[in-house]
Amino acid sequence: MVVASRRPSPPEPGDEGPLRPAAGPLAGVPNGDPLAGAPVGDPLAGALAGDEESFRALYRLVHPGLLRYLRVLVGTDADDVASETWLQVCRDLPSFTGDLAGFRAWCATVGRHRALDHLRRTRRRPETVALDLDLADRADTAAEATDAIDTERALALIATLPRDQAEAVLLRVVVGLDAAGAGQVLGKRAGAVRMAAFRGLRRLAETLERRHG
Amino acid sequence: MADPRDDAALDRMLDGGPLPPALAALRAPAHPAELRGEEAAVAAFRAAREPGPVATPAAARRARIVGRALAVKLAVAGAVLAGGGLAVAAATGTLPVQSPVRPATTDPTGPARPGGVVNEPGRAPHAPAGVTPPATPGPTTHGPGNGHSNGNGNGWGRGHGSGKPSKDPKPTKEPKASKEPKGPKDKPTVPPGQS
Repeated sequence: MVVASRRPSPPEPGDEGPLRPAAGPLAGVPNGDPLAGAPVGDPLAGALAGDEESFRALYRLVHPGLLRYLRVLVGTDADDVASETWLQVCRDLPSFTGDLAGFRAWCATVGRHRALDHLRRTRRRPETVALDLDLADRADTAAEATDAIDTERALALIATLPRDQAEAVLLRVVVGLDAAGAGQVLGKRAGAVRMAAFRGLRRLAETLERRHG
Repeated sequence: MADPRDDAALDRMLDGGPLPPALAALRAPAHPAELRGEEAAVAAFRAAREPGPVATPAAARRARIVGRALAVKLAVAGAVLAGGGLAVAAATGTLPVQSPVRPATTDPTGPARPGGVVNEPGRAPHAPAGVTPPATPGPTTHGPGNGHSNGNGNGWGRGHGSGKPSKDPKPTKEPKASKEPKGPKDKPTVPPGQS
């Protein structure tokens, strides 16, 4: 798979990383295990070395999860906030050290700060926001629209959670961080993030059960 | 799938295991619309990598911030030193800059009136050696810094100027302070007899 695990030995192929955006549009993007340390096929190392195609691959790895996280934080302004985030990330990239998991956490931290700044500017309270089906509107084909709607619906479900739970779930499941990384982004201990993510998932499961039952 | 409310199942879900169908699309591959900022991001990356003017602003800004912080620190240090000089002068009864000069002079008034030596007409020739230089280094090294108007780098400029006035009132005050040390500080309006 494309997304390499930050864990040394993934127990199963499906467990190698929560976010796997590369399966579709990203097929054929060259990359590999960033822990292997080989510059070829390591988008992060390539981007740090200044290679544009490596950066493009890195963007495709990291951006979808980041954008989905931001969508729950700032709604339809997520694209703008994500642009600001990448500007800052590109600017400060030379000073970054770490692996892909660290890079994801760094991007999420920058994105979160930009999102909170944005909410402050627009004088909105930092709560999860109700989502429209904006992504679906921009899809080119019906199939794409269906996929996008599914994603939007799932994000809209997450957005019904209290913000700390929503952020914990998103950082773990969508951005692909472990509890320590998510805690780093949120400025909380790993245990607190784990608890928040648990509560969020449990609450969602109950919501879904009620809907179907 | 196991009951999603089971802890182990939740753990698996968080670690990349199967999500409930309604949430599975959270991990769906990127939709084309989600990647439409890619070219802008790549352009930002390219711009940041350019060695020319685009790459330097960050470094320049950082240098400017560091420079400003340094200037502020210098100003504060100057002010502290100036105050410190005053304190040293007050404590030792002498102005430190003058010390190398003093042994050469056999002026008996020096030890007798330590605070007043600088401003005495007879001593004036000595003063430029220690006092006047500060006037020039200040503006040249730290041009725009306002903080240097009082403390001028070597820290003694201020001490010299105010050495005498600050010294003279002290002997007259001290007897009072020893009688009721806290009186003037706490509540000068309420004498002990009134309460």
